[in-house]
Amino acid sequence: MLVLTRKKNESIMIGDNIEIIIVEAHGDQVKLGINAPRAIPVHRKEVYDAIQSENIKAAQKQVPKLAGLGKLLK
Amino acid sequence: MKILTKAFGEVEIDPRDIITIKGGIFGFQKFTKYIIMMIPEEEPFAWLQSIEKSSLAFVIIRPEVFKKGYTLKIDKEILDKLKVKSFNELISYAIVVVPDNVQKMTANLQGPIVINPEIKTGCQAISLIPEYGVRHFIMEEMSKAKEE
Repeated sequence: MLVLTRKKNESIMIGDNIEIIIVEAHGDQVKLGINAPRAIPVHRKEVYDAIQSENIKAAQKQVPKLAGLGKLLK
Repeated sequence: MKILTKAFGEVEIDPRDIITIKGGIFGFQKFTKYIIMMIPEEEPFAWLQSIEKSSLAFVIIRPEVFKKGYTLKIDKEILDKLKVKSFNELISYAIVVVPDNVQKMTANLQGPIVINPEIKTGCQAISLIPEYGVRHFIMEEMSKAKEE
């Protein structure tokens, strides 16, 4: 992994169209600004991780019995 | 064509019903071809069954069934990706986790599967609505909706 040291208001470029700017740094919290083309989705990694782990849970091995479950929803 | 499914064994399907999930489902990116299977006894639940891996299948439900006022708000880029002009043209499904105690089943509203039925193409999106999480208790949401 490439590790770079940056100061406030400095930035890094990823390719030629993604810029990540250090907006603010306070103790263990860093505020980042991201300039990227709209086609590139930017999300916090925790969100991806949470969805992924829920997907894995949903794909569990046993087949749940769904017949009749719909009645509970009425 | 015949495929092997997780819930129903061997099933005859129409290849025209195969849906491409662009980029796959998070955690299962290798697999992109799925089919939605429903049987009346299991409604309103359905299965999102992988064509490429028979043991890979997800229980899904339309969020509108249990979530009052469900709204699809996702990155606008997905409109281009799925070749639609508005989110109204997309069908949303929430992936369901069914534990032993079915009362505690949950649905993921944060990572909906969105599909353009016209071109049988979809993807797993990330909801931009802060209130939508990965674990909504379906029964609770239903009773909440009734109270209101």
